[in-house]
Amino acid sequence: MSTRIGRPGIPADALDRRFGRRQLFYGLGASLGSLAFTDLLARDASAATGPLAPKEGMLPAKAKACIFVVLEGGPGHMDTFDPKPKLRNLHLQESQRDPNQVLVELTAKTYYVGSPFGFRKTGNAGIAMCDQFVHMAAADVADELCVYRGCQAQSVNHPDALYHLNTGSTLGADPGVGAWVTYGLGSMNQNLPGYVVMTELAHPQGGAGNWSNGFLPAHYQGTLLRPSGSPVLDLDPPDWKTREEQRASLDMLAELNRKHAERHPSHDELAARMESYELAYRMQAEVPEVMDLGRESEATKEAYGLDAEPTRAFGRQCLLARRLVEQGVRFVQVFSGGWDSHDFLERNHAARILSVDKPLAALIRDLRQRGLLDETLVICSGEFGRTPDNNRRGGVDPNGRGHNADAMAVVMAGGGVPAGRVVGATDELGNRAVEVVHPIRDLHVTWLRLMGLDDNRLTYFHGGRFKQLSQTGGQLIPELIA
Amino acid sequence: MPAPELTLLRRVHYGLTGLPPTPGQTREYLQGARPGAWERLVDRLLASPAYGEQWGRHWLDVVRYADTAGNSNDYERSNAWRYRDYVVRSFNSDKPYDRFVIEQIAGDELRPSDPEMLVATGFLRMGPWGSAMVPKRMARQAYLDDVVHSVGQSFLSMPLRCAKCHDHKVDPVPTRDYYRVYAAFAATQMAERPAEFLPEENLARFAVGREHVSKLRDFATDHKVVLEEKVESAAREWFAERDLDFVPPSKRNNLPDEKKPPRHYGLTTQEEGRLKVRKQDEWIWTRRLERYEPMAQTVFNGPDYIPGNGRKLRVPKKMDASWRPESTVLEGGAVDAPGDPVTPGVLSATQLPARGAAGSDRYALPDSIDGRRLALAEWIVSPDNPLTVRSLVNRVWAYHFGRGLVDTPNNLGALGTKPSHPKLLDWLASEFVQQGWSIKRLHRTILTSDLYRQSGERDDMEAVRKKDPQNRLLAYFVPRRLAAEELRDSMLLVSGELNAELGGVPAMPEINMEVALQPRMIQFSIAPAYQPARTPQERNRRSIYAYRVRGQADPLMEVFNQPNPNDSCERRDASAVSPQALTMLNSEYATSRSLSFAMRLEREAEDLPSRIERAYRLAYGRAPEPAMVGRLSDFVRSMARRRRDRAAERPSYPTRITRSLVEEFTGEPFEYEEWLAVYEDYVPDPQAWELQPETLALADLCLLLFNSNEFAYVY
Repeated sequence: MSTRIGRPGIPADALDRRFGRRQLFYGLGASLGSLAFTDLLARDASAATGPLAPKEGMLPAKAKACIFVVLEGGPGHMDTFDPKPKLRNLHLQESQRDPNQVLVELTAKTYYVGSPFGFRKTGNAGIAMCDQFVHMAAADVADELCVYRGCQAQSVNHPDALYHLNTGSTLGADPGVGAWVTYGLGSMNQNLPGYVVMTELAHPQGGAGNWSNGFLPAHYQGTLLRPSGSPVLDLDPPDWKTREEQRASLDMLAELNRKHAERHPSHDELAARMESYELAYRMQAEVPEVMDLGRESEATKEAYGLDAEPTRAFGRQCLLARRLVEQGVRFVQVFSGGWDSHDFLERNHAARILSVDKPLAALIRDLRQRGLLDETLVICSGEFGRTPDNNRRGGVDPNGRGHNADAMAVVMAGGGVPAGRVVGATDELGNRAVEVVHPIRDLHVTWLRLMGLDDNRLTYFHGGRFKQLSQTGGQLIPELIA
Repeated sequence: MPAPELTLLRRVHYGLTGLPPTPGQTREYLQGARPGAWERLVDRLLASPAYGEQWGRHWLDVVRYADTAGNSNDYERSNAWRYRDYVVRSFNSDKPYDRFVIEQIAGDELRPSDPEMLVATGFLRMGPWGSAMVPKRMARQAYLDDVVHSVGQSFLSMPLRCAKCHDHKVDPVPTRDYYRVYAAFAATQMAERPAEFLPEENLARFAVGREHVSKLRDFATDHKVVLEEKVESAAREWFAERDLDFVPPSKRNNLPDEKKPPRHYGLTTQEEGRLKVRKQDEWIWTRRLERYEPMAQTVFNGPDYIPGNGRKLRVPKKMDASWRPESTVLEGGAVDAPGDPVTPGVLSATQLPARGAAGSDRYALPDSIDGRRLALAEWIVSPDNPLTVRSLVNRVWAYHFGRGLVDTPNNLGALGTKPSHPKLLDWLASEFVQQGWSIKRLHRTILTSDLYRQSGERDDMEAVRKKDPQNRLLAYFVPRRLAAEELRDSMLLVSGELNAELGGVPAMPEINMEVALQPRMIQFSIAPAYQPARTPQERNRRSIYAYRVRGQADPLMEVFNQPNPNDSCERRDASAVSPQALTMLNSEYATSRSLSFAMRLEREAEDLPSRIERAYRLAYGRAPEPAMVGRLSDFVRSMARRRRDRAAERPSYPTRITRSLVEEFTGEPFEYEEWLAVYEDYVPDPQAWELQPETLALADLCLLLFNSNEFAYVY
C-alpha cells in the first residue's frame, strides 16, 4: 500500500510518512471513524499524487462537483419560492407569535407583512416562484429545480448562521462543506485549487471562517478568487522575472527544503508547505486561463447577463463557476450579498432577484447543454429564512422582515436531486417548517451523499474525537435524492 | 532528548521576542560561560523591549485590538494606539497580572486622575461596534453583551455569550448571573476622553503625521468650500429672482420650503455626489487629526449615552445625577423583553463571594454608579478565583508549547478540552500567585524546564506517536510556523531594514497596492484609500505597530493567518496554502526585502561564497554546508546570466485616482478625484530597476531563504 512516486519538490518518503501517520490511528479500534481512515487510505493509495488527488467516492454518486451559491443575509422564502397568500390578507395586522418558537427574533409588537410580489406556478412541474423570477421561471429551467421547504437553521445571527450553513457549526472554526468534500474526494484538476470561493468586493459576514479548512489539513481551505484586479493576489512574479527563472528558483528551493527535511524527519507539515509552492506555480498558468472569459461566445456572455449592469458581477461569477467545474474543480462557492431586507423588502429583494435570476438560469442551462448538470450539484440557499411579520421600524409601517431560523427555502438542481419537485412545506404563514422537517445537518448529510460521501465515514480525528460535517451524525433526507 | 543549542537559541528568541537571534547574539551566546548561559539568555530576552512587543501582540489577539471600530462605518479609534502601547509597556515592566487586569476593567475607577488608567480601560473599547441603522437601545445592548463576553473570555477563559439567552447548557452559568455581570457595566459608557500624554509615550511621529493628515483634510475642505460657494451663489440668485431678502444657510432651517432654495440648489448630480464625499472626507481626516491629541479611547460612568450616529463619543457636559441604572434579565436575550430585576454581581458557580458583599447575597457587587467595575475586577483577581490564574498560566504555556495544558485557552469551561496535566496546571497557578503574579517569573519557570528544552525529534518517534498521536504528553517539542508578524519582522531584521523604534501612532507600512486602492464601502461613501508612510524608515517598523483596520486587512498578514480582529484569537492557525507561496515569491513586500537583503550582503561581504555564508548566518543563524555554498553559487551565477539582457521597469506611483460611486438619493453615478498625497514625494524601498543583474541574482537567493522551511519554522 505504500507508494513511492516522486514529485518535484516532494521527496518520495514524505508521502510515505503521511501514510505512516494515518496508520497510527488503526490502534483505535473499529469505530466508524477509523473505518473512514482505512477507507480514505485505500482510495488514496491507488492515486498517483498528493492530497488533492481525485479519490473514488465511498458510495455510488451522480454528482462529481458542486456549485454552492449562498444568498447572504437570508432571502425571504415567502418572497421567493414559498408563496403565502394568507399573509397578504393579514397584511399589517398584529401578528400572533407562537410562544414556543424561540428561534425567531423576539421584538416588540409585530405585524404581518404580505409579500409585495405576485406568485405563479412555472414549467410543467408547477414549481411556484414569485413574479420577479423571469428566467428561472422558464420551463426548461424551472423543471430542473428541486425546492426544499423543510429545512431549519439554528441561529438568527448572520455570522453564526452563515458559519452553520457553510461549516456545520455556528462557531466558525470548523471546515467548510467544500473542505470536507475535497478532503473526501480530492479534486480532478491538480493545477487549480480544489475548493474555490468567489465573493463580492466585500466579504460576507464572518469572512474567511466560512470557507476555512478548520481542523482539516490546510490543502482543503477554500481559495478566494478576487472579483477584480489580479484574481489571486500576487499571482504573477515582478516584470523582471520570467517563469523559467521562477521554475529554477523553485527547484533550488525544493533542494534547500529537502536538505532541511532530512534534519527534521518527523514533521510532515514541511512536505505540505512544499506542495503549496508547487500548486502555486501551477496556478500561475492555470488561473489566468480559466478566468479568461474572452474564450466564451458573445451569446454565452449575454445569457449570463454580462452585458447588463444588474447581472454583470454575479453573472461573471456564475460563468466562472461553470468554467471552474468544467476544468475539474471539485467545489465552487459563490456569495451573493444584500438579502437582509429588514426594510424596503420590495425594492431590495426585487433588485437582488434581478441580479441572480438570469445568471442562475443561464448556469443551469449551460451546465445541461455541456452535459455537466447531471454530475454537478447546484445549491442556492440563504443562511436562514425570514419572518412573516416585523415590528414597526423607525416609526413607519413594517415593510421588511426579520430573521427566521425555523423556515427557509433551499433550491437545488442537477447532481442527483429530483428535478421539478417541491419537498417539504412550511405552515400557512411561513413561520416554520412543518413537513419533511430537517435541520441543516441533515441537509449536509444529504449533500455529501449526493456526492458519494458518507458523513459517518468522512471523519477527522480532532480535539479528542472523530469529527464530521454533521457534528454528531445526521439523517439522510431521502426525498431529496432522485 | 534536549534540542541542539542553536535550535534552542532560535526557539527562545522567537518565543520571547518574535525575532531570530542576530549573528552577533548567536556568537555571544555560544561563547558565554557555562553553566548559567541559558538562564542569562532568558533574562536578557525578558529584559529586551522586543519581549513586550511579542507578548503584547499575544494579548492584543485575545482582546481584539484594532485602530478602527468596524461595522458599517469602521470609524477610526484614533487613540487606540495608546492602549496598544500600554499593553506593551505592561509586559515590559512585568506589571503584576492582577494589576494589569484591574487597570483594564476599572483603571478609571481605580485612579481617576491618572491618564494611563484611562488608556488602560481602553480594553473596554476593543470590540467592534457601530450604531448605524441600529436602534440605540440595541446598539447599547450590543456593546454590553460584547464587553461581558470579552471580560469573561479574556480574563476567566469563560466565554459568557452562551448564557445571554438561556442558562448555559454545559457550564454552570445561569442567565441570571450573566445579567448580574451585565449590570456591573450598566453605567459604563463609551467615550473619547482627555488624557495627558505620558513621558514614556512615543510622540516622535506627530509632526510628520499631522502634516500629512492636515493636507488631506484641507484638500477635502477646499473642494467642499468651492461646491458650497456654488450652492450659495445659486441661492443668492434664487432669492433675488423671487425678490426675497437673502437668508444665510444657518438661518434657513425653519423656513417653509417655498421661502428657501432646495437642498444642493445649483449643483449638478455629479457635484451633489462630490459634495457629500468631500464632507465625509473632511470629517474622516478631522477625526484622524485626533491621533495626535491627548485623548484616550475609554469609558466613563453615567447615564446611557449614544450621541448622534455614534461617531463622536464625548462625555456629556450635563449628566443626570439622580440616574440609576435599572437592570433586569432580558428574556431570550431580547432587549425589549425585560424579566426579573437583577443587581450587579459575580458568577455564583465559582462559589467565590464578592469581597464586602452585604447581607445574604454573597455574590453582590456594589450598586453605586461608580465602583461596580472595580469590585468586579477585584473579584476576578482574587487569588481564590479558580479561573483567572489558570487562564493566564494556560495562555502563557500555550504560546510556548503551541498548545495549552487546556487546549482551548479561551475556554476552560466544560466546552473546552480537559487539561492534559491538571496537577501541573494547578501547580503553575499557585506558583504564579506566590511569585506576585509575575509573568516574567512564570516564563523563567517554564523556559528553564527540561520540557521546554526538548528536541522536536526522537529516536523512538514511531512508537511514541502510536501511543500518543496528539502528543498530549509532550514527549517532544512541536515545531511551529512563524506567525504573520514574526515572518514580516524577521525579514526586515535580516534585510537590515527593521526600525526598532517603540510605540507611537500607527505605522503605515506598504500593503499590496491593489488592496490599498480597492474601493471600500462605508455607510454613505467610499473610505479614503490607504496611503503608506512616505519613507522606508517610517514604514519598516515592527508589525504590532501597523495600522489595524477592521474593514481592510493587510493581505500579507491575513494570508499568514493573522486573525480577524472581530474575534478573540486564542491560538494562531498556521495552515500552509498556495496564496502564501504566491505572496512570499511575488509580492512587492517579499521582493523589496530580498533586494535589501542582497544589498546588505554586498556591503558586508566581499565575494559570493562569503556572501552566501553571511546570508545563512543572518537568515538561519548557522553556517551553510560547504556543498550548499557551491550549489547556491552556481544558482546565483546562472540567474545573473539570465538577467543580463533584461531591465526591470521603473514603477510609477499614482498621485490621483478617480473613484466612481452611485449617489444615494438620485441613483445616478458620479465620479470624484482622490489625492494620494504621499506619492508626491514618495521614497520607495530599493527597486529592481536601479540594481545590477548580479545584485538581482543574489536577491533571488535571498528570496529563496525567506521562502524556505528553515526560515519559516521554529523548532
